[in-house]
Amino acid sequence: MVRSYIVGGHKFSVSMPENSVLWNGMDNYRPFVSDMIDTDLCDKDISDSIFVLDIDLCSDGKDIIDNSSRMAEFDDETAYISLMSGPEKQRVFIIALNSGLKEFGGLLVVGNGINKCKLYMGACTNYGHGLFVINNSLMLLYALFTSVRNTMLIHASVVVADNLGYAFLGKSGTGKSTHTRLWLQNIPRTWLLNDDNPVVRVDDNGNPIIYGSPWSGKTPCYKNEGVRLKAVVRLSQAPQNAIRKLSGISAYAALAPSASSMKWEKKMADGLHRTLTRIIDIVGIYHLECLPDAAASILCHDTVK
Amino acid sequence: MRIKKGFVLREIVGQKVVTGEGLEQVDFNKLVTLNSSAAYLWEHVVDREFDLETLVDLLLDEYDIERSVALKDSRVLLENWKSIGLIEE
Repeated sequence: MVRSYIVGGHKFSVSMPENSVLWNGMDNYRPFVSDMIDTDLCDKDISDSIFVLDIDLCSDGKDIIDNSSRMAEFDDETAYISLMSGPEKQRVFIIALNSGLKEFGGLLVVGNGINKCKLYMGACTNYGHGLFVINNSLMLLYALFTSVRNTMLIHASVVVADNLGYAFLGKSGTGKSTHTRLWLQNIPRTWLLNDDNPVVRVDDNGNPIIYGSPWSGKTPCYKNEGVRLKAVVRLSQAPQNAIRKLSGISAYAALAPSASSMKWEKKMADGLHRTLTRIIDIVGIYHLECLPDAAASILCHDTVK
Repeated sequence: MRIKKGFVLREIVGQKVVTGEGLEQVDFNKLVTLNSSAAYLWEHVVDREFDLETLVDLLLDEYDIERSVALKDSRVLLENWKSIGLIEE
């Protein structure tokens, strides 16, 4: 069975056996469904997808791993990813929750110049870990294939006020979600768009739009909506509340670390750089030093609205 | 010596900036701004072996300055690039 989704205006497709229970766990994608096709993968149905992920639940792809050369390993609080170069120079990734689970990880293979990607999940015996692998594979592919399309996936919590989007950035544990909650409690007519990985896209008219996505961290908030991005605020904890506007390189440096990317891929780095420079040109970028209190959200809203 | 692999010169709002983008530099989380003469030198020594004399000669080719000034400026720049970790012997 093939399901297609539209996130941030970009369509992608996922193919997996219809009887797999993993479909049941993909509720976070439900608001983004554009087509459901009961037949097998057919080129005609997916020609307008930026990528197609074909999921193989039986094979663990071990022969591919054995013939790949290791390039780098990333292991942080969000995921473990091992990057390899495949026998035909494909990009090969082992994806797991952490390095301890890498034996049970998924194997993602991205060919060169083609948008059909393969995910081998024969080693993912655990249901929850299987969903983690699917979500992270799709996020990685989304970031990869949209980077050349004026789009970036960012790590942020986003609130909407008066139909304008405000994105809060910061390292894990800085208080992005806390600050968002303070806006929801203290600023009238606000709602949560996404709490972890929204999409920012500069549209064909040059407008910066921020979209909800199927990826929202621990908060189940999967909104298929897009609003104009009004401001981006990098947060740091401080003993007092203070806010200042950033410009030029400071604005770029505040935003860039929160964009998901594989910047060693030149095409992707170039695309991301283009998107970042356009965003800092048209969107207000700020730095807020703050306490986790109501006054912080009111100061912030008054300054950036 | 040479510039390490993985560094890329980009332009951000009219300013030349070095970023770490290659796999060799994924953990380099700084942006290094270069003024116009430093950017000129960077563009001419990237992907090749060079030394202090190379920089001095490049400056003298481009700018109407005394050799002693070019030498002093090149030394300062080289120390700066070394301390940030942009170059290897």
